[in-house]
Amino acid sequence: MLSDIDPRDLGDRLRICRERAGLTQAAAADSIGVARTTLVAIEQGVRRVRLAEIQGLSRCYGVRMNELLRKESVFVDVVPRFRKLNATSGGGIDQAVRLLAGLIRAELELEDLLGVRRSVATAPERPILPGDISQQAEHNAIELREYLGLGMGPITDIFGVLELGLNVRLYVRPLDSGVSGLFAYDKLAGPCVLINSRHPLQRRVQTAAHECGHLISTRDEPEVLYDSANLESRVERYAEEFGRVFLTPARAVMQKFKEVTAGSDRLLRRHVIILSHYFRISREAMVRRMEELQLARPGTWNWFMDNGGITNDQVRQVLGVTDDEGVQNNAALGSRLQLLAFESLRRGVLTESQLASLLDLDLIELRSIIDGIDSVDHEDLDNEYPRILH
Amino acid sequence: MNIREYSTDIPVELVVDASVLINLVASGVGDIIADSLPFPLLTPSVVVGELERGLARGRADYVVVMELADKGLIRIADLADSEEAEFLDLISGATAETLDDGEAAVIAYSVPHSGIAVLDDSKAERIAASRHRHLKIANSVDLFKDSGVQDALGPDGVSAALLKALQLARMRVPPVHVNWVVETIGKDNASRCTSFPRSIRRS
Repeated sequence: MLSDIDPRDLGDRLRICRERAGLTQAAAADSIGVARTTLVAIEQGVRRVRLAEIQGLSRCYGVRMNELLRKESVFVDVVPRFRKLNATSGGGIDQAVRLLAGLIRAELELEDLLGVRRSVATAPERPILPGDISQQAEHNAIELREYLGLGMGPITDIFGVLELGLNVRLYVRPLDSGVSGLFAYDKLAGPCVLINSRHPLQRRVQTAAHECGHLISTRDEPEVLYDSANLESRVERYAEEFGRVFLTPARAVMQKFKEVTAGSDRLLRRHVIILSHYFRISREAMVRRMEELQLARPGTWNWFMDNGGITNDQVRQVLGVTDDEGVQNNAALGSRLQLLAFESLRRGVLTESQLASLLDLDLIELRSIIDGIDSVDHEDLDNEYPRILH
Repeated sequence: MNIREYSTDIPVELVVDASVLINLVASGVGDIIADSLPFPLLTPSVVVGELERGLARGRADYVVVMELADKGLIRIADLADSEEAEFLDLISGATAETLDDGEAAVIAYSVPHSGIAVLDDSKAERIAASRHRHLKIANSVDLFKDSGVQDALGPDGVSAALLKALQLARMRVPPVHVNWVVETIGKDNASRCTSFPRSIRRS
């Protein structure tokens, strides 16, 4: 019954949903035909909300009433923190912020329902200090590699490093093409990163490394990496430098460069192809790193561009595959969220409709994801499969 | 469940949720099915609202359902005040015992109206059955199996409709109906449908 629900709790939920929808109290009040002061009183839990008003507000905010009223619904919200950034204007960014917030909420609620406890412990923070940004970024990136036990080798799966090594909640979803990624840190959820699945793999790798930089240095500040972002600020220059060093530490690049170019006095396309594949970064990023480390003259990348570039066909000839082929983290939900979703259905904790609404998918999209998991492991799970020893 | 077994003296409606409507739309013959069933279709306005939100995602189910409504093949009803208490109970409280809005509205409407609640989710069926022992519950496949629908579509028509629902809407097939669906669409087609367990797709 509505009377069983704590009015302050419900009021708070309504407020969070309204803010998430980007609506003023006046606009929300208007939608259900009450005065703004009445809506204020509802949000403060002072005036009990009527069912018809909940129906109207849930329609206005684009949420299901079940989501508003079920006990374990999570109302952690990172959206307001992003609003404080000057960056958050423009539909693509707003949409990405709302998506990230929704995914975090979904994962937290599924964990709660399934009784999953997850560590939010991550690498130690290293706030940016006065002084040279590049040196700090380089030092901290190498320190992070040591913390993670990566040594100087290439990072073959930075997404796995984020998720398993740094306890980042990582989501890769299609975003507006101008948005590369988002970062937010929440006490309950821990570090959270959203990356644009529409970007090529190497760009996603670079975005992931950039967000690592934010995780290490400015974790209490949410961040949006987008095309026209100001990358000149100290914070952004730090993250860019950090990402570059994290993926391609100077000594490792020099060592590998020496091996790959042995016997040659010219920098050939195949050298660039092999090195960029080794470090899992784009050809351009590889050449520019070589320029930065004085392994190639300034302007070397421009030379390649002026002379036909380095094409995917050429990559295929050298490597057999292009860098975008092979295993990629392209799962629509992210592997962890997918598995939590599957378990919640299997155990009958949520209906497909509840789960679809929680994950902001339509029913058919959800079914196709679940069927994908099912096609690998489906049968009588309770009887056939080996038990996990806890 | 043979829905025709539930003939009574009082008018009965088949109260359907979003999943059922999506399956009917995907079948391509939702109008024929609706016309051939022994009882009229009804859906709560909450369910239609869910489908309407699907328009923004490029889903056209709402448009087709409204066309069915215009032709008088499905009725859309609001919950009466007296039905709201049950609806509220079904959507609030511990998550494991709640349902999504559409599912809850189907049950809340069906109970006082002696409707047949057509649901495609086992949790929804479990909760409906535990709260209302006498509530008649059916699922999408029951509609395809109805003798009137079989007569209207013919064997090839039923097979084609089922296949489309499985392929386009990824219709869920309860275990009790798997054999019938596989026989109707054929093993080759069944082996390609990801809605089925691997044992069916392997054999």
